[in-house]
Amino acid sequence: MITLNNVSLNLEGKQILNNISLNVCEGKTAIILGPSGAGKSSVLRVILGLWRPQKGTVIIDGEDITNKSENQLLHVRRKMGMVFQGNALFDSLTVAENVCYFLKEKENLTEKEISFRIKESLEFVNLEGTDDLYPAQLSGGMKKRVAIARALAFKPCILLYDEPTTGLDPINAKSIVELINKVKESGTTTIVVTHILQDAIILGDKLTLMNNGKIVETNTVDNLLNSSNNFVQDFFFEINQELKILKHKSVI
Amino acid sequence: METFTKILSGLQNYTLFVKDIIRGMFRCFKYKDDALREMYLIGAKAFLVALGGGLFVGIILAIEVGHQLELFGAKTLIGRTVSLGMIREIGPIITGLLLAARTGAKNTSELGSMQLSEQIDALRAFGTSPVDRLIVPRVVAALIMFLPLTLIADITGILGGMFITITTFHMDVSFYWHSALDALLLKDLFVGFLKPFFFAFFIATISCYYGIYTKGGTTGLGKNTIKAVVSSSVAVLVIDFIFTKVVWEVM
Ligand SMILES: Nc1ncnc2c1ncn2[C@@H]1O[C@H](COP(=O)(O)OP(=O)(O)O)[C@@H](O)[C@H]1O
Ligand SMILES: [Mg+2]
Repeated sequence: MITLNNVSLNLEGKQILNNISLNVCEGKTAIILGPSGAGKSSVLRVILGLWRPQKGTVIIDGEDITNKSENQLLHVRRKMGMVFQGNALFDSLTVAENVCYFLKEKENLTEKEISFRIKESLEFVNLEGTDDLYPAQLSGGMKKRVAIARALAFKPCILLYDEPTTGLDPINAKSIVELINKVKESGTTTIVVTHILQDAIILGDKLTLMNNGKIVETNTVDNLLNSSNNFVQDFFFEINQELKILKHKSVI
Repeated sequence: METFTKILSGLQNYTLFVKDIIRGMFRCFKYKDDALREMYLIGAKAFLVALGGGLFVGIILAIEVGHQLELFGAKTLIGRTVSLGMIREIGPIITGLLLAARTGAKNTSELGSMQLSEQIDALRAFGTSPVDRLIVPRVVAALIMFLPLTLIADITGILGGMFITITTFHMDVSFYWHSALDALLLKDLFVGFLKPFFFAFFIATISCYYGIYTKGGTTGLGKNTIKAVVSSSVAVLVIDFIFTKVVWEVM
């Protein structure tokens, strides 16, 4: 469904991505984990065709998008929904208008169908009754839900999340993670980018670890916990300690 | 040398940007709701600006010219000077400059803050062209609304001139109107009414260009808003100069 082959990206003379290869099959979930500045958001931007890599190829749903023009890319992008790190909601529009903004674009839906889709999407993210509020009137967790509802509204087959739980309190973060799992169940191909290990472990069984624009290792959680790579050990240090303490306690 | 290449590459980007906009204009009916909203914001809401601007310039023009003409006993020419001046030059210029500030600042700051908060990227990511959806409606709205606004400035300017002629120079209203309308030729109306379209096009495209290429946070947005207002004002003056020159040489 999504394939990156040896993708390298330079911006303003700086190497952002270095030889990234990634393959996500239809209906599967990929988790990209790494410290901030690793190039995780850049990977999503390359997948969306917002940035064009200097080397390598990007294939979405069997279509090579690497050298497509902005206009040719439009229909490929409509297969994808993106939840931006900062939500990127349209702040001059209400919640309902945000959710249906791209619906009017894509399909020839009637007014009735559109309002049904708005209701359906907002219900899915547990935000009934917020239709007429503006993004500025919402809390951080609610904004994230609206961003997810907007991405879901036109039923994309691919969903990309950029740090969906960053900056949220634990309760809201938990419910967003549950929401992402709920969306996954409907068979959507999903990529979640995060630097929060706990969320990564709940959301996927295979994790891709990135650092300095490179992929360090792709493996299951268990194997990563026992990895001999220094960077992986550092990244998993805290959680390893917690596991040890827990084991220790349960032994006593 | 470095600034020179920078200016050149800026001009190149702007030209490509304008090419996209012109292509997008053929699809402008798709987003007519957005265009209508922009027409209201940059047109209807600028009504008082055009009205006030035109009125005061007309009054000033009549006072200055009136006193000079009075010396030669040619007060009857006040009407002629004000109407020609307003319709051919000052009406379009003052509306152009006021709208360069108003529309220019609005477009750049709106699109710039959308760029900084990734809203423009969100549009692209969801398969919508920001040029078609955000910029073409703004350009179309400017093209439609600038002429009516200029007309308002022209008319209130001439009325302001009339007011001064009556109160300060104690002349009869009919003299003023006779002199004002007699002097106008079709050519003057044509020139005066054509300018707003050029002003609209350049003000809208320049300010949208600076908006959508904003980077560097709040400071960058501030800088680009200044650049947009300054370059569109300069564009208004340069276009006006070209028109005046061509009209006097050719027509
Ligand atoms: N617009 C840009 N221009 C140049 N460099 C950028 C830009 N955006 C991000 N970068 C750089 O790219 C690197 C990776 O950024 P990013 O993909 O956002 O990392 P992450 O999402 O993992 O935190 C960072 O070093 C950042 O400084
Ligand atoms: Mg990021």
